[in-house]
Amino acid sequence: MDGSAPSWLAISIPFFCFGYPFVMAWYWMAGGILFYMERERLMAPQDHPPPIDHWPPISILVPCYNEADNAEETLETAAAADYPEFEIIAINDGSRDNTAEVLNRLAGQIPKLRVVHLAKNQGKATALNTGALLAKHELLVCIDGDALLDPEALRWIARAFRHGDVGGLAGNPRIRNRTSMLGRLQVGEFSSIIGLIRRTQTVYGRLFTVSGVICAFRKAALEEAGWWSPRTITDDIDVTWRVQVAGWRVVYEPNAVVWILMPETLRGLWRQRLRWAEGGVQMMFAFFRPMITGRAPSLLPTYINYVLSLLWSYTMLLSLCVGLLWVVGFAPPSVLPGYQLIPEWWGLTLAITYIAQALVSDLLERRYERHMLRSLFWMIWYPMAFWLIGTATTVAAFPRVLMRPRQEHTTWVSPDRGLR
Amino acid sequence: MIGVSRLWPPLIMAAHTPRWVKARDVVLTLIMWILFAIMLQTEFELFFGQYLKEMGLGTFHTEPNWPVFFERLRPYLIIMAALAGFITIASVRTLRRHRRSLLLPQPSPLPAAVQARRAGMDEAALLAARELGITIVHAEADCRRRIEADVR
Repeated sequence: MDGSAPSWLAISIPFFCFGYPFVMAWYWMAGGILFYMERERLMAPQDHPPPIDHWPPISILVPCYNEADNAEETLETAAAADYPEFEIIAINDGSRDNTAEVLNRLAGQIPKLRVVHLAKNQGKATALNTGALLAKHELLVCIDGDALLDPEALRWIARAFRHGDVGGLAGNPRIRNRTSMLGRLQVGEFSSIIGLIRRTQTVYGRLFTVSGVICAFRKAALEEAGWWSPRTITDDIDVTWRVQVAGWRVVYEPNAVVWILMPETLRGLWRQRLRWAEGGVQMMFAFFRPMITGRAPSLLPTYINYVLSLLWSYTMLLSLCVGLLWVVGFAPPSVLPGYQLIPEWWGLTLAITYIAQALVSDLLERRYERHMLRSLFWMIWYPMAFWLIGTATTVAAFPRVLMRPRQEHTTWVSPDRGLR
Repeated sequence: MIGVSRLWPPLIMAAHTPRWVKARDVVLTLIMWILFAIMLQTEFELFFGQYLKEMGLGTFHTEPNWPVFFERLRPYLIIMAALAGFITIASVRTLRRHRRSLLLPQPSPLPAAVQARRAGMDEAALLAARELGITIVHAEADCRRRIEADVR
């Protein structure tokens, strides 16, 4: 190492630690506001989707694994959707509880419902591929077995697919369970982080991922993309990328609302976020070749942003560790700059930026949920709780994906569904 | 169809949470906000010190050093400006494409025969399976499917 390397590191690491989240927060805000100005403010109210010439028939796929407690509510709500022609296919992926009995009973009560039992448990991707095979219609809407579809969601989805180049769609998941502080925090997170990022990515034209809990695809797009892969940890990230690499557009439709259950324990949250992080890392490896060979140049900025976020997690962890060493009295080499554990000017600037981001997103999200600004009260925890969890899960995910056998099939991970 | 009548949106709030837990959450969050406000003391004085001084509440440091402030942030502001320009140009391009795509014909639906071939079935068997209310499917690793009617 030459003599200039230490000073270069000492400058670049803090620059990146502060700069990446700071710059990206303003970027997401700019994208969110552009999305609002160009599209959202011109939209009809969420509960009054404008009519179109022809409402295409839709197949709703509901993969279920150990969903006996939730399936009835999910399927009844889906069946009550305000849409002219649709069918529901519930796919029981070898559940170990009495999901099979519940679904068979419901099949006799809900005329639009068909039930598919997989002979053995093979994971969500196989369940979705099987449901798609048995679906009568070209347009597939996928929701989770514990998600409640908004009555107007199908109309908004059908409207988005009027565009001939749209192959996939990400809906707008909203948190149902808000009993604990973790639940309330996620209400703000889904709007201020996920909602704002999706808006910006739609403005740019490429999405990082749909939400598996509410997404829609054309069968033709899935056929070109190779359907859902049973070998990926997060099938939604993988299929979004493959549909886009195949040349289709994937768009965000914030009016396609679904109400979901999220973990309300730290353990549940950790497991969920670790899975998401592993899915992201797996995507990074899987799409490295298409990126460097220029097969999908428009996806490159989204890809680079993901790589930077991964790098940021490691850099941040290094800085925090060095900061901790200083606090306990060890003096690490001066080449390693560390953050003060109590935020100084830079930390405060980041915190204020984050609150501005939360405010912008909550203002945008008021259209879909009243009293969104109330969630701001809980957002003070976000930088501490979620950034730390996000950093730690990303750091842990990278080696886990590296050590994972490449051809391994993924199976269901039943999440913690919060307090009832 | 089963009649669905429930509160909408279907929020689950404070189902069985003890009152002390709710109070604890509120108090802890308030403390976090207060700590945050204390850390923002300098910024608070800069913005509101003049008014507090006029109200006779003491003397405060009210001379912001904007050159230093912007000097610190300058590299980030340059990157932000570049990204803002990038997303604005991209948004115009995306919006044009979005509007043009309304004029595109709808792509042809995927024929059932293609799906059947992929699943190692014949088309007639697949179409018949799509009419069944309850089915049992044996999924093989190579995408092939064997479908049976559920006779339970």
